[in-house]
Amino acid sequence: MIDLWAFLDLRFIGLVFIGAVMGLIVGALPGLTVTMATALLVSITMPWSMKDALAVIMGVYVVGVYAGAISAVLINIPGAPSSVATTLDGFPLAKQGRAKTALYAAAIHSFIGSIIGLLILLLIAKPVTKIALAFTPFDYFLFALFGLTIVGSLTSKDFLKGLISATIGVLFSLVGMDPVFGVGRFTFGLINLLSGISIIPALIGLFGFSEVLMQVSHRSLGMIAERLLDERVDFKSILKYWPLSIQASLIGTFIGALPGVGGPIAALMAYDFAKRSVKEPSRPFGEGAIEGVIASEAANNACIGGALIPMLTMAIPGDAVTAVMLAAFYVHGMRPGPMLFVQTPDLFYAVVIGGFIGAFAVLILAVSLAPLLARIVTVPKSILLPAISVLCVVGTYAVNNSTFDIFLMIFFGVLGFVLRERGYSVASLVLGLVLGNMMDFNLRKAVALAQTSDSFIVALLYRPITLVLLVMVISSFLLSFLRFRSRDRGEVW
Amino acid sequence: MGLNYIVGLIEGLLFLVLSIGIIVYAFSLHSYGEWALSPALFPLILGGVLFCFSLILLVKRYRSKFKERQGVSIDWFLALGSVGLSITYALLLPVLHFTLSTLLYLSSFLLILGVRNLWILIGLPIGLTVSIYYIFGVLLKVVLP
Repeated sequence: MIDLWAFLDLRFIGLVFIGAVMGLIVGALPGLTVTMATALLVSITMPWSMKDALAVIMGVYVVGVYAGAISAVLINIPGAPSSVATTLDGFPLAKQGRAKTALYAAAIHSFIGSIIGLLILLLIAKPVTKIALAFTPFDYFLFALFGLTIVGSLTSKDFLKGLISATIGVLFSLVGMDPVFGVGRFTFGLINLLSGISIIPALIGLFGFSEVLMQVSHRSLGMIAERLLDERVDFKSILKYWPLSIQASLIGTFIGALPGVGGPIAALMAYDFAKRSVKEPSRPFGEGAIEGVIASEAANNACIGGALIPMLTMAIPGDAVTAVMLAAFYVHGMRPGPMLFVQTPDLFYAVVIGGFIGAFAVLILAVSLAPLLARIVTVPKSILLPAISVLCVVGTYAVNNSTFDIFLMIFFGVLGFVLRERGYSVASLVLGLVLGNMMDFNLRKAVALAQTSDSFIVALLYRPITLVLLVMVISSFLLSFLRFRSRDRGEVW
Repeated sequence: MGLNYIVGLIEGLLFLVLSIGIIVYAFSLHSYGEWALSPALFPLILGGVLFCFSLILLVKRYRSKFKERQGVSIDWFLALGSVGLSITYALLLPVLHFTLSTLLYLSSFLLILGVRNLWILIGLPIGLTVSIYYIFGVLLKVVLP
């Protein structure tokens, strides 16, 4: 029997908090990723005990995922890919002078999301892994396609333009070496493109640099918000959204448990869910609906617990950070997987309890820093925009130490600017960029596998999970289509 | 027939040309006999999908010529100036390195945006450059250009 109280010593808690502070800085600065920080920690903590190393890593992981919301809300640049959906309503809230409320809501519901994800990890890790591992390549393709059908939620004006953006995003994801044959696609002879388009420069360009260009070109050089509303943030009114938070957390945990899917998709799907299920949002979605921030943040933090499930039970990483964590286990001579619970159960609990303490660190750090951070929106944009541009450049360079990435970021910035000017959604493009590779690889694998069987259609489709996913894809697409069609005709839907 | 309508038509045509280009390029990728695993399969599907979307967009544009709204005016000098300045900054980084090129970039950007206060023009670039250098370079050990 493991003595859980043994983890509540000051040393363990202190180490989680050290990681938490590091996660806050790394998560809030565009370009610096939690994966990068975790990789750095694996080497730094090599001489430490595994329990101590896990304490710091979990602090970075949990708080880092939340901290992506800080820059997403304040300057419209997602600090991490999983905060993309947070920008959609978080930044409009900041523009209305309600940055403090948005940051508090993000923190509280990130906390709830983290706790739910970790509880699921603690209680039902094995069955969830079983479902996740039952997915075939075609299921993954359909799942990604289902992800793409949420463009309707990310596009406030024109569904067709949302679909075009998403298609272009998928096309961008194909740039680089083909994973099956190793031939270059859409690289046009540029060696730097062989490794594909790195998501961080694209994100920083599409959200950050394009925002700078939007503001500059419209001569909107005042403050993001004329003044911070002198609002006493009422925690009760933020907590009243707990049912949405729990639902978004369940979505986040399940998507997190699917290997290779990750936080951005979890957050976007939860956002889509909120948009469809909340009948009377506080404000329209895309214009500062607090429900959008809550769904996105609860889901991306719940994804942590989800991503840890296949990593700890089957040694299959759920996302990039857990892949690095897996390396940390191997470096220390441990083997995650079913035997982890038998041979070193204390390490499983170190991860879970480290995560719980990290979740509390989110609350403590966010509540104490939010009033200070929120003041950024009152700085005149003529001062803020050059500073954001430099952060865009430095953050991009930090990913791969590559000047080429800076040009890539500028390219995506200009593209984002043109698309936004013409009413196309950049969030849809990001969705395509994130999902494209998964779709390409799994579709080809599925078709190749199905060709070897007697009946192509039976091999491809005749499984309960596949049929459910197929129905989900078709109904989601039709619902979005009908909703936009009826709106275009002026009908209330 | 407004400018926005013409730009909308050009936009649809551009996507149409792009989709045809992708389809042609995708065929050039296919040299392995089997389509199932071919690197051309997915680009071909996407090219086809984009082609259909572009056609629908063109038809929609054509039919909406009487309902065009006026766009917001854009200050092209500032937009292109910001892009040009950022490209110059990226080009200068390997030559002048982080500190000097960032100081120059920030001062120029502030000037373009109409900041004339000398304290801000000098103080902000120095303060921000030192802060970024300290946080990224010293605290987080990130390699700066």
